[in-house]
Amino acid sequence: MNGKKIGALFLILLAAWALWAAFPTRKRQVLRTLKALSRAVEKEGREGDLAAAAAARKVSAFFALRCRIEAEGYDFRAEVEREEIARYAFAARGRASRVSLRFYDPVVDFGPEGEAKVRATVRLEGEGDGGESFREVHEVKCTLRKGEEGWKIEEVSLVEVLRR
Amino acid sequence: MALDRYPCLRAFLFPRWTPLYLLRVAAVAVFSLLFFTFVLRPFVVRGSSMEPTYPDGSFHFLLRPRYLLSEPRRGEVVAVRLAGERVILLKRVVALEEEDVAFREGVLYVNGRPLTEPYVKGPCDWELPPRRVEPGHLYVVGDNRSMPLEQHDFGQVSRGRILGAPLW
Repeated sequence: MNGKKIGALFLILLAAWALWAAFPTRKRQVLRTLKALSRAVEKEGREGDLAAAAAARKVSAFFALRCRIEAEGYDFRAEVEREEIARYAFAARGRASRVSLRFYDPVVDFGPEGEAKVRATVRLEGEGDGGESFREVHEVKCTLRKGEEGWKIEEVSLVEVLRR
Repeated sequence: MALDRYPCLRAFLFPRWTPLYLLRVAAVAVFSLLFFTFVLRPFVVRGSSMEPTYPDGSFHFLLRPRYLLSEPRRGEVVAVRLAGERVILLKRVVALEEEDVAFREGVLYVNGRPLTEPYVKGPCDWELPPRRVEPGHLYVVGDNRSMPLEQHDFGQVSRGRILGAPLW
């Protein structure tokens, strides 16, 4: 009897977990997108040109066809196409032997028409081809929009926490 | 067994899992979680911008209530939060609100006077034209001035972003 009860409880928990995983909330969808972007950016060791191109394309797939990029502190404002992002990502991967990108403390707010605004801390670190290490930490604001292909990043801006 | 002769030691090392004991464990766990989240937060330094005072990889505690009743002063090391609190920047306050800051030939000038900085050990050749710290802001810089100015994160930060100060 006890065994049956435990089995039933286990099945109920399993079903609840399956439902939770199969029907994520909008917030979890956005957070999953950021996690997937981190995984796509990650690089460990050398990779061939074909693998780098495939990885760069995968990274660019997280962005909208046109994406606005802003950096307050550097007085930089540009609108780039997805293809350009793939080219930048390819070039950047070629210059680094190890790359990792992590999002910390993301806060997601939803706007009208399937828009999500995310504020998070981003840490990009790794090692260049010559063995020199690099580490960048920034607060970022991103705007994502849900389309047929899922959530895509439309806008990224670096927040200037320390202003010279 | 040797422990049989010391029942107190035995009870301490191998306690009985009574409801009271579990309650005590839960209370200690909750207290530790709150204490190490809101009072003393452990952190590891990543990066070299505060060397040699805070070397890369060193372990410290952040005293969060440090500025609950007082304001950061010049020369103190503070923790600056970014979007959340998991990643913080450790910097030294060099100028307060409405003061003028400049670097000339690597020497820091505040209100036109050179500031003695015993914590800066390496050579520095930074040049930065004078600028005024806005109200409600502090000017923070790392101790490692041997790195190029372009690679060093420093500048004025809103007082609201100061999370606390390292315990040592």
